Amino acid sequence: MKKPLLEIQDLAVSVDDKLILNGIDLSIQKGELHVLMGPNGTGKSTLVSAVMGDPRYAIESGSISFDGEDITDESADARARLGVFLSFQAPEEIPGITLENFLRTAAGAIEGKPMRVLAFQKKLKEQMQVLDMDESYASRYLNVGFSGGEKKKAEILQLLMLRPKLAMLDETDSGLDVDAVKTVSKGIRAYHDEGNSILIITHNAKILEELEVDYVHILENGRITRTGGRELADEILQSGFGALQKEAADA
Amino acid sequence: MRSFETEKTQVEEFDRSIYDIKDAANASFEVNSGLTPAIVQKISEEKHDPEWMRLFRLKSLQTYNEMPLPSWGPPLDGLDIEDIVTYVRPNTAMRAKWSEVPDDIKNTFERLGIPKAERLSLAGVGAQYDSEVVYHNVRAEVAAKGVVYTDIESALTGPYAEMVRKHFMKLVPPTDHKFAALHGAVWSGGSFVYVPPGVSVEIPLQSYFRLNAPGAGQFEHTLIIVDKGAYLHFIEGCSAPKYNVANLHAGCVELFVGEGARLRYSTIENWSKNMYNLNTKRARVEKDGIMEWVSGSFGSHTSCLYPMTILKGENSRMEFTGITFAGNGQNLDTGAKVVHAAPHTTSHISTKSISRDGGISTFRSAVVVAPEAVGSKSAVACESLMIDDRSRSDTIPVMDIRCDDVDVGHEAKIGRISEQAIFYLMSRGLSEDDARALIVGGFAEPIAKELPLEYAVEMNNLIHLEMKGSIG
Amino acid sequence: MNTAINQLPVRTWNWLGVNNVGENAALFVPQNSEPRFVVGPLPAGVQQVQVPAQGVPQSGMGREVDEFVLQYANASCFVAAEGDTKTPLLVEGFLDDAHPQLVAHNSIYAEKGSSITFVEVSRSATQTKGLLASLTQVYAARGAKVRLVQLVLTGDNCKSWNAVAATVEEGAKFELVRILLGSAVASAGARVNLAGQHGEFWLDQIYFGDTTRSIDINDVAEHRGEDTLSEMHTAGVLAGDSTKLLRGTIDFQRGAVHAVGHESETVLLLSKTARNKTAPLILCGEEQVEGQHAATIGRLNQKQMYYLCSRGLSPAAARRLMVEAQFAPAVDKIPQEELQKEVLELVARRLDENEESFE
Repeated sequence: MKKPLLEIQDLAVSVDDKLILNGIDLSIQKGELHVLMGPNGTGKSTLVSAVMGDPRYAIESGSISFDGEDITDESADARARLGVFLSFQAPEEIPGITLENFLRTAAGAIEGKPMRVLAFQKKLKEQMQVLDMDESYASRYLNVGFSGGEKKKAEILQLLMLRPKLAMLDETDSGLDVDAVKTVSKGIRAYHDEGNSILIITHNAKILEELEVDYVHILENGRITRTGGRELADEILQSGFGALQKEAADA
Repeated sequence: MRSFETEKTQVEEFDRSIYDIKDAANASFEVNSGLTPAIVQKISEEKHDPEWMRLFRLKSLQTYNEMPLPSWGPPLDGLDIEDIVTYVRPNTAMRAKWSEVPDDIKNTFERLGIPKAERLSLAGVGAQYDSEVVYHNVRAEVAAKGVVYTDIESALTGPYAEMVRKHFMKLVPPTDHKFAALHGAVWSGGSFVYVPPGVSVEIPLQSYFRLNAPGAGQFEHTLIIVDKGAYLHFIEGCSAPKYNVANLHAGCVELFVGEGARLRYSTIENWSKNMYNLNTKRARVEKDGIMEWVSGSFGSHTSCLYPMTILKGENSRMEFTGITFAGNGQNLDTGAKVVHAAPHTTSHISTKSISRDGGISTFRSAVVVAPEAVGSKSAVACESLMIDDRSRSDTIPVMDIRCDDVDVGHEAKIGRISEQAIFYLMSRGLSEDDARALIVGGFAEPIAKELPLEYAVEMNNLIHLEMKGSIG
Repeated sequence: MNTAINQLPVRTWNWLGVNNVGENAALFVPQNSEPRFVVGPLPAGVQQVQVPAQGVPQSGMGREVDEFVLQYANASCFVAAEGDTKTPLLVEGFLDDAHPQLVAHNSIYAEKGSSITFVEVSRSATQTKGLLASLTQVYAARGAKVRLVQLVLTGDNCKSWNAVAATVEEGAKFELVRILLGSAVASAGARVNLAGQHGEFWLDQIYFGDTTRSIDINDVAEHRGEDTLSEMHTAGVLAGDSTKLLRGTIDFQRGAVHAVGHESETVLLLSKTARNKTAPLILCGEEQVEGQHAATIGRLNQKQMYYLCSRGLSPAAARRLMVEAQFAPAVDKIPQEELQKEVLELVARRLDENEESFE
């Protein structure tokens, strides 16, 4: 059995003293693309935030391993340096730091050595083209004044520039128009290869259209209730979660 | 075109005359002002004070004589302490004669539609007023819940004597400033309210009911204690102008908000335009308690009014909403102070001020966050509206932050009524004056909506009148 | 005696302690010592003159400091600028044990339509107990543009007083960039008289308090001319047991029709024992104006920190990036890259030195 890239065992997570996740088991191998779906408020964002190491979330029990290492107690930046990445649902606006400057600093932190400016700028320009992003965004302050859609694209740009081992995308497609969704999907495909993995949280069929989905998980009430292949996603998108629950009840 | 040199000189002179306190003003206070220990002693006797109060008054007088006038703030030259003393002395009726009440006051009563009986009372003419009846009815209703609502002088003896003694001038000690010391020596009249634990007083209590009491509206002392988990809304004053022969109001309000309790203290001050309003108000809030101030300052010749809140208990909260309207001849120096002395405390201060027709309005504030006030938040927003270029509006806020785990924000804005807004309203048929009045009313809306309806209506009428310059 | 330094334009409650500087910022007894003071090469269009600029107001620090410098100055640099002078003039002061006092009187007279950048840098040997007092008077004639950059980078045993007084005539612009990083006790104050129509005053300043540093500032923008503009923006960091008091006043005088004044301050508190006082005043005697000020005080935004860390930056690197972001508007206005670097390196060092006290 290949060692999984991400291994979550019996994870329980709480926030503000409220238990949100109660016994999550999840395994993602290198090269795989997993989709996480579920009714709103059931803990999908909590799960990816906990994997990223958001200090607001407390791990009550269980463990998270990444590339063979136990990262349950590691800080967010340590996890990032190991290759974990989260595309946020609502990215922070940070005035005073340009997108370019920030990315170069982050890339340098992950590589362990500063990036050569010209090479970096060239790469940045290329990736911005892939995402149909205007060059001027590079010199704008990080996310300041960006529309919702622009912020999401900027997150994918970061993904392409930092090339992590695991990319967790938290509703990256929500709030985007049809063209933007296509572009984001393009970016995800450009990033994805056998060496890295993706975990996507979505409610939307569009983004999955052009992607090769390996597994779909349903998260309800703090637990993963079902796992299946692509057809599971199609079924949900057609008939909603209620149908699933009814199925389970009838079984 | 005037050279800027001369203009600079003019402006500098103007500035100085407002902000320098000339030494001459002190003279009337330092020389024996007629307020002798003998007089204070006599006052105490007439009131049948308990012994501790008599000694308290005498000690306060001593403090008063030793303290200097404040070195900041509006000038107090027009205060004639000798004159005031004559009204404090016992045997004087403290009453005015209707014939002596200024015409503009009478006109305002007319315009605001104040009933005749109320007018006599408001003008300190001292006729027996219906409010006595209303007052008694309210008393009976709340007494059923165990609420004590009485005049403070009689509370000095009787079942609440110890409670009053424990709290009296502890929040605002006589050493606080010169006029607190004066108050400590000659205070007279006022209300004492005690709300027992868990009791919610549904109707607001109003100090208005106590207008007739001797010394009312001059040196009255209000002491309110809201016990654990209780709720009270207390309203002080009214929008009608209050006329006093003696032109100093040096009252004192002390509010004690218990654990988990909530107190709302609303004030509309419209003292006559000869008055010096140097009221001191302070609240102390225990754990989980909430203190809400709603304040409308319209009257007085000169006002110094900065309700202060001490957030002593964890998680306690203070909300302050106020409006100050300075018209011709007025110098209204108002604001708020808050001290965060416990973790997770919150304060919101939101004020509006309007200056018109040569009036001077100053917003002065202090936000102090002590080192132990971890996780506290404070937000101050003050907005000033200038109606013309003859008036002044100054904003003097200060923040003293001694804790790092805090979130403190402050913003202030000053500007004028938008021309486009006036044009738009006029294009819908309003006269320019009415348009302005409507806009200013809108400016005051956040305060109006915190007041009980009849007060909000009165306040709006008052603003309307002030805007039209109908109040002299 | 020191009640006259950095006076708050309108006095307020004494117990707040903001009406003037504290005891520790009382002026010193001047020795008649030689200063180390170097005036750099004069750019084309800039000449040294005998007499300082006239028609300037009292400085933001007040008459006492102004008179002190005028009387005891041991160094001076009076210049006049004509035309668009392309390169900045650099004036450097250095305090060491052999030259522990510098009392500098500088003046800039910018002719009609001229532009000039004047950079004053003050440094010292590390241990020196140096004393630095300076008064810089600026007169910007019609349409002139003056940028005055003051870098106070003196050592931890020094005390400094940096006073600025400026008059801005019609259509002229005065930019003051104040980098207040040095001295154990650092006092500064600028008063700008926006005398002529359409005149502008831009202030971008930064400060960084740590250990027991004490910082006291008093800036006043006086709007007299119509359509005048003032933009005063300050970003600061307080660590250790430092204390700081910033008084910033927008003063709209009667006649300053359509004047606009904006003031902002952001204070980053990086220690439990630092003490911050802020007094942002707006004085207004004119109806048709627009005035705004905003102050934000608190710790580093934790959500922003987490976002940066989630991209691989260590907390120390994230903190440094965020502090640099706050300081960027002022640092970017320093005309020379080496000076910008020097400032950013000093800031980075100071962050490192205080690392243990951060959470």
